[in-house]
Order: sequence, then structure tokens, then C-alpha cells
Amino acid sequence: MADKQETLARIRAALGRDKTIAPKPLASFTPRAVNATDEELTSRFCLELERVSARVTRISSADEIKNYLKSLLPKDAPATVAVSDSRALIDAGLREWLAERGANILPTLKEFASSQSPRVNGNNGAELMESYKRELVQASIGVTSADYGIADTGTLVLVSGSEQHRLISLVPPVHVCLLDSKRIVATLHDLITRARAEHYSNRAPQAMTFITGPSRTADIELTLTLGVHGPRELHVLLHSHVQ
Amino acid sequence: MNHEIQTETFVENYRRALVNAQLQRALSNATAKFTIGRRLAVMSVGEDWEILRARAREIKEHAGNNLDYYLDQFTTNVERLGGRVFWARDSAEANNYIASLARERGATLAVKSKSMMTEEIELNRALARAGVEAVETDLGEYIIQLADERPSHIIAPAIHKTRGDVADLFTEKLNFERTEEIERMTALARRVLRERFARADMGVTGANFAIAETGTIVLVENEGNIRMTTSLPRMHVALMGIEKVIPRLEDLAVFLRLLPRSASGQQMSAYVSFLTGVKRAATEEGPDELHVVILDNGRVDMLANEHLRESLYCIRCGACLNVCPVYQKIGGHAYGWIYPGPIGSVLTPQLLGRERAANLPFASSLCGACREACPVKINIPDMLLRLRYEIKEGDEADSQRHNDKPIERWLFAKIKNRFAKSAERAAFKLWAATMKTPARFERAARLARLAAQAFDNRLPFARWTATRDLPPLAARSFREEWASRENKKS
Repeated sequence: MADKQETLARIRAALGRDKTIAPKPLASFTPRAVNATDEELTSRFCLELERVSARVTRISSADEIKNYLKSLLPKDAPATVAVSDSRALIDAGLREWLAERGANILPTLKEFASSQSPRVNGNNGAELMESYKRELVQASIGVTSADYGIADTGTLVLVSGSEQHRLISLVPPVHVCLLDSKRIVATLHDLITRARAEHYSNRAPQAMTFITGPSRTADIELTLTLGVHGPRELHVLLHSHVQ
Repeated sequence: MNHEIQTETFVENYRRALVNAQLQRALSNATAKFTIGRRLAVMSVGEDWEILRARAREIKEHAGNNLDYYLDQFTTNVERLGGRVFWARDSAEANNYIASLARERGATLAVKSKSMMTEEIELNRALARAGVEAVETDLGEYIIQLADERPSHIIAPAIHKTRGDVADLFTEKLNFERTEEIERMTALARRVLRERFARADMGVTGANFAIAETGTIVLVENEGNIRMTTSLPRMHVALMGIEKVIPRLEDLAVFLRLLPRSASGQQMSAYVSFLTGVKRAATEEGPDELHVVILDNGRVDMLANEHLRESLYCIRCGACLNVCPVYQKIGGHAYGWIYPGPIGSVLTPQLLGRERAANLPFASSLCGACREACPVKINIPDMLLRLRYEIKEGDEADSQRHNDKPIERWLFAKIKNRFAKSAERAAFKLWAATMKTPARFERAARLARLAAQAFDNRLPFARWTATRDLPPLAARSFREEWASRENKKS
């Protein structure tokens, strides 16, 4: 059976050497810099998002977030909304407001855990996750906030260290995402350089997720269809330091 | 349709494909759409496109030449962050590991994302034998799995199926009221697969890129099924060939610009996941077990062959399929295994054995469209030529060894070979002699014209000429024409 040493030895033989040597890394690659004002970056970001069937709205106050959400909530029945634990959403007072309107707020895993019995919490969290999943599939809207945006492609970037985003931005059919327009970078290259410095220099986050538009497929007759596994709708709310 | 390898019946396969009208319509529609989409996406990058391709090539060459170092770095990081690494020499070792892992953990249902690696080792069959149901969750792959077929395109596995075919399939296998509306069929698949995601104990994916410096696995997709597969079940198993490792995060700034544009003509795929290690607390999301299975399965041999090493640089975008005049006409299934098109004709003989896929490297006009389209600048035509050479050399070596051939067949092969060689030599001698003086050339050209008239422009070498039109020779040569004009003037 193969193992690490045996495999590496065969690779070395294939490369014609008998010792692994640390290579001199390639010189860093710097593509042409983009000279754009913040406003230009934001416009480009919005344009690209609309191209991939996302809806983007610029807002200037926490009330506007609430008004926007109100337009998404079903009129007749109370909705279940999953809200991430990001700082920006907590500061906007979104949960309290949703609760007042009779919405059922799905807590984050951490909050969920503290409301469950020790039996559910034991077993390395396996049961906890099972119960959480059952709750999450009931949610009709997921609200998160993004760490970065990429203007060039209209991409939202969510990092797992800053909030619990993975399932909330994926499982409910509608995803609403808040982004500070000051955190829009020009290109993918800028994003990777920045994310590497801010998140990967110490302990890497377990997940960094790029989201560019709603879930899509073209697997039947190459016909574009939205919402195959993930959300059918993506709403982006752009703000600059909402108070 | 079944899953037996059908590379040896390539000729029968493509003949069937050429007369299949539905397939021909689907192929011309799909390859045209993909090609135009890719062109537009490349244009939007402008002149930087060539810079990106050159850089991607440079990174893959560097990673390949130092594969031992970067694999060591990658796997050390994976283990440091709580993942387990399993090294598999071939498909049997990989399959056994995953099957026994499932058995040990009591897993009975695995959800899978689209992965050429799992197709290569036929993981689904191995899991089924171990009593584990493996469900494909990419819509195209799910359709193919229900139909019990093989994918016909690297990124669009079900392009050979019409909406009517899919409707029939869903009605028959899923017991739903028949609809041909694509939206409704997609919603149906979503509902069925959601239930599987919720129940699955194991998620199986491939890996588009593995980052050595961080131990990160990068997965690119549009549907969200990979995100589900890697965040809902408590175990994540990622399979990758040894060639998937690249040195640094910053390298992704190159590959993530090339891959979606080359594959589907998108600026960026809907979802890209950077996954590093396992969760650190019960109240975090993500799987609590991560198993990275690193497969050789013939790749070390590719690395050792300097002429063919660059087959390992492929990032599986499928661009070479769409631009290939052969793929455009015969489609994916004709190639007889899982890797179709130009890159398939390079990979399949190396992975299955040259003798089992001896026709594939010859099924190319060497037009070079694949090389132009390749985001990593892989020189596919050169490798096809190299494989042709190796296959012919292998035939000869075989007939010289005559190990399992009866003596008379061996003798016949040897004589035929000898005859072919001396005939070839004689033909070239004659050619050289003819070309030596203008007078001889003149005489030969006159003879050729007479012969062409006699055979009605069809030479009696049927295998070569049956599919080729000989350009008609002019009644008078240029020299004769020139000479007669000069005569008239004077």
C-alpha cells in the first residue's frame, strides 16, 4: 500500500533526484493596478452583480435595511428568518425588529446549543447539528453580511471567522447580504492579497466563500435556471457605515 | 449503455455517433454556445489574457517540477489543521479506504459533487458494493446517474440529453407527474436531493486546487451542491490527483480568472469555496472529519515522461472539447471512457494503457485549436504526436517479443513490418531521385497527370483516398504554360 514516504520517493525518482529540496518560489505576480475611485468601484460592483441576476440596493440607514426586509417578508404568515451573528447585523438591531414583527428568528448554532439539552450537545455536536439542520430548512430568508466585495466580478466574499455564514447563505431560498461599500476591492488579485494578510497569516478560517449571484445551473439543454440547490434570489444591500 | 470501458471500439462508437441526429443537434448547439461564451469572456479580459495564460503555465510547471516539496507541505498543513491524509497508489486503494471509512462510521448514504477523479476510480460502484448508496448531486450528474450512463462532457455531463429525455427519466425513476418545463424539473431535483443532503453521513468531492502554503482545498461550482456536500454531512472526503497542488493562495488570482471563463464563459462561477481543516468547536459549522485522499493512479508515470508531463497541468475546464472539430462531431461517449476530446485522447492512453486506447491519439487533425484554447497552454497536438510514436513503437516491440502470439502470426507480422519498412524506404528513394533534376521532375509530373486521368482523380489506395478528394491536376503544368507563352511572344 502507498504511503507518504513511498509516494514522495517515487515522485522524486520521476523528477530525477533523490532528495526533496525547497524550491526558490516564483517571483510574485503583480497584474496591472486598477486606478479607480471608490465610487467607480462601487458602480462596477453593482453593474456586475446585476449581470449575474442579483439585486443590489444602496442604503444609508438601518431603517432602510428593515424596510427592504419588510418587502421580502410574506404578508400573510409569520416567516422564519435565519440571521447570522455578524457584528454589522447585530448593531443594526435586525433581530429585535424582526421579532417585534412576529417573525420567527432562527438562532445561530451557538445560541441554539445553549437552548438544547446536554444530550443534544454531547457526542461532539453531531445531534446538535442534526437538530439545527431541521430548523434551518424551515427558513425562507437568510441574512448575512459580507467581509469583502470584488468590483471586477460582482463577487461577495464571506469569511467563517467573522460570522456563521455557510448554511444561512445557502439553504434558505432567499439570501440577503449586507456589505460596506468601503470593503469593495478592485480585482480578485487585490482580494486575495488582502484576505491573505487579514485572515490567513495566523490561523486560516475554516471556510472562505465567494458568492457571485444566485445558485444557477444550465445542465438541461444549456438553459439557465436559477436556484437549483442554493438560493434563487440574492439581494445585496450596500451601505457605507450604517448607524 | 453501461459502464464498461469502450475505448477499444472507438471506430464503432464514433460511427454510431455520426448518424445519431439528436446527438448531432445537441453537440452543435452546445459546442457553439460554449465557444462563443468563452470568446466573449476572454475578450473582456483583453490583452492580459495571454499574460494570465503564461503565468498559469509557469505556476503549473514550477509545481510539477517540485511536486514532492509542495505535496509534503500541503499534507503537513492538512494534518496540522485536523484533517487526515490517505495516499493511494491506484483506484483499488482509494476505493477500499473510502468504503471502509464509511463502514467504520456506519455511513449508509453519501452525497457526491461532480468529480472526474471519482469517475476515474468508479467510486460509486465500490461504495455500492460496500452497502453505501452514493448520490450524485450536481444536476447533470444526477440525470446521468438516473440514466445509468457516463458523462459526455467534462463540465456539462448531460448535454446529449434533451428536456424530453430528462422528463421521461424523472417520470420513470422518481415517480412524478411528467413535465418538460426545465424550471419545474430543476425544482423537482432540488426537492429530492435536499432530502438526501439532510440524511447523508458522508460528503464526497474532488478538488479544483490544493494550496500548499495553507492546506486549503478550493472548489468551484455554480449550483451550490458542493457547498451543501461540504457543510451538511459530518464527514467530508476530498479526492485529488497528486497534480492538483499549487504553491500559494496568490496563485488562485490567476487560476480563478482563467477557469470559469474557459469553462462556461462566466467571469466568475457562482460559488468558490476555500476550505481549510475541520471545525474547532461543536458550535461551528462544517464537518468534523476531513479526509483528503491523494491519488497517483498512473500520474507519477506521466510526471516521469518529459514528453507527456504537461498532461498533468490540465485544470479540467473542457475548453479544448468545445473547439475540437473531432469532438464537435463525435461527442464525448465515442471516446469510450470518462475523459473525452483532445485532452482525453492524451490522458486516456496514459491512464488505461496505450494498447487499450490506441486509436485515440490518431483521432485528431492536429489543427491546434485545443492548444489555442487551453488556459494553461498545454501543447496537446505535440503530445498526440508523441503518443502516436509511442504506440507504434510499442506495436513493434510487441511483435518482436511475440510473447503470447502464435509463431506464424508473429512471422507474418514481422514480414509485413519488414515489407512496409522497405516499401517506405523505396518510396522515399524514388522521391529523392525524382526531385534531384528539373527534367526528372517534369517527367514525373507528366506521368502523375496521366495517372490521375486514368484513375479519374481517385488513387487506388482506398483507405487513404476514400475520405479525401484529390485536387485535380491542371492539364498543363505551370512550366509548360510559361514556355508556350514565351514562345508566342517571340
